[in-house]
Amino acid sequence: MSVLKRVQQWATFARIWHVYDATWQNPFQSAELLKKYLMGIHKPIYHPMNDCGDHVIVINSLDIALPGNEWAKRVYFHHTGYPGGATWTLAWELHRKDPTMILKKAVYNSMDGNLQRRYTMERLHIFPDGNVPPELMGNVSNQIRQIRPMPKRLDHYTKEEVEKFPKIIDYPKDYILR
Amino acid sequence: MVFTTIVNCVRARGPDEFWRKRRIFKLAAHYIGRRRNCYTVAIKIVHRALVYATKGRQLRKQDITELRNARIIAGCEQHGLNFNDLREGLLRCNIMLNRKTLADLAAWEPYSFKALTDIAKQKTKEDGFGSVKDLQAPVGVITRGMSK
Amino acid sequence: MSGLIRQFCNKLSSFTKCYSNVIARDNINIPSILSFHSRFYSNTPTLHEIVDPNKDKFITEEIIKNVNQQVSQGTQGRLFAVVHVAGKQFKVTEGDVLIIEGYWPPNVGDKISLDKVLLLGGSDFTLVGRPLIQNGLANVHATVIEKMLSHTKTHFRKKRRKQYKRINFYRIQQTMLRINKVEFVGQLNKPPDVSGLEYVIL
Repeated sequence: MSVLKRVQQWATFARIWHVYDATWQNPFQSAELLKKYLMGIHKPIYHPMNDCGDHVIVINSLDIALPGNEWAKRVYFHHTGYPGGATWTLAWELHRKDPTMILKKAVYNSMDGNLQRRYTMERLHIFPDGNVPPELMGNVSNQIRQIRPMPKRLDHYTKEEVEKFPKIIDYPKDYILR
Repeated sequence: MVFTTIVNCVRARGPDEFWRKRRIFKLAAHYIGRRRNCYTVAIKIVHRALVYATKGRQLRKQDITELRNARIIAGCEQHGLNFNDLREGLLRCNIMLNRKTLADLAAWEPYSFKALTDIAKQKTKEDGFGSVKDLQAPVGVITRGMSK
Repeated sequence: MSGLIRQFCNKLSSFTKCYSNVIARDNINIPSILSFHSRFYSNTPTLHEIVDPNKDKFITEEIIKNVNQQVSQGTQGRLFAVVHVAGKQFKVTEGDVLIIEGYWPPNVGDKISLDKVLLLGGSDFTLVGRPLIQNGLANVHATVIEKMLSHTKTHFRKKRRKQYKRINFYRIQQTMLRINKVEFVGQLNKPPDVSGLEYVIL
């Protein structure tokens, strides 16, 4: 292969590391998005035999947001294989035990149940907060856009922004706020 | 020798049984164990293999269509467009490229594929259909009313 | 109609980008007596955009001139075409070998020009036909190398336990075609004075 062709081959098939911030995101919606990057289906050169999946680093999985009453109602079943070894764990309990499990199970269950699944899951790296080892963070070259926009907390606005924000009316000066 | 029971007489089924069975053994040459040497075992497996080969021809077409769709959708998403919008936009512009060529272009000719997505986006803006994510029309597409 | 042309500014720096001219709204001072707003009348100037009617024309003409220049100088490089043959579309370039399945009249050694060209592209431009590119612009020449039958395919149907078994052997006719040339002939946007005469026998 000539030098130019070698460079082109590398540029086309190199594995890219993406980073995804899971704060305020629905893990099940995020799973659908992330599995595309893990399987390589976001590339026009995709082929199941091609091994074109990318790495995805998910940060802040501690702050994911499940819809509705799923924190209280969603249960995860596990059986150890031994008699009497069935456990039903609620989502909030599982999240307390291991904050990465909910997202990991969501991604695993969103994939097709074929033999590729376990290998593809190896390329997913979930961290509960922003502390990612620098070796992994150094590889990252793309950030995946969040699905749900993250709202800004009212106490995170600076004083200048609050003052500059356009007001239609204001309380009268002698009004007492209860 | 005189056989007292009829069962011990070997029946001759026909003169070309050997060649009839050889046709099956030829197809079973790469099997393992009794499957490649014994006729009654081999015939069942060869029949199954032939049925799979026949049905596989339809499945191969399905697999290839799925792959082409995946490639086109991936190419569209890279340019912020829907597959349905691309199809509708190209159809309304009277561009009749099939999914095979679209997939080939998406994989091998990215600039040409971008041209097609730009044309489709411009068409969605001009006709007012579909759901294009960015609000602005693509830069540099000049239709001069020709897309009507 | 030669179709829509899309030019990419990546490689050749002489191409221009297209921006829309939007004139910013001036803050006009209107005396308070005259500034009344009703449903039917308003003093505030409407948002307007002054567009040069010839700007698009200049850009397209520049693009067409550049493409024609590249073609006349012969610097366009390897071209590929999407060609419609026997009901199927193929993306071809020079030196490709095609296999066309089914009954197809041309014999071995025949030189053929494939006329139904849907798309012609090179490294700097793409010409998209709607649905076909005009006849005189693109030339795709091919030669028929071989006419053969495919390998024997077996159509075997079986219904288990019902004593139903059918076997059918078939071979499809195949034609091997070698693409000799894919070229851009003539000039863009200069259609012949009379069109449609290519198929007329006078």
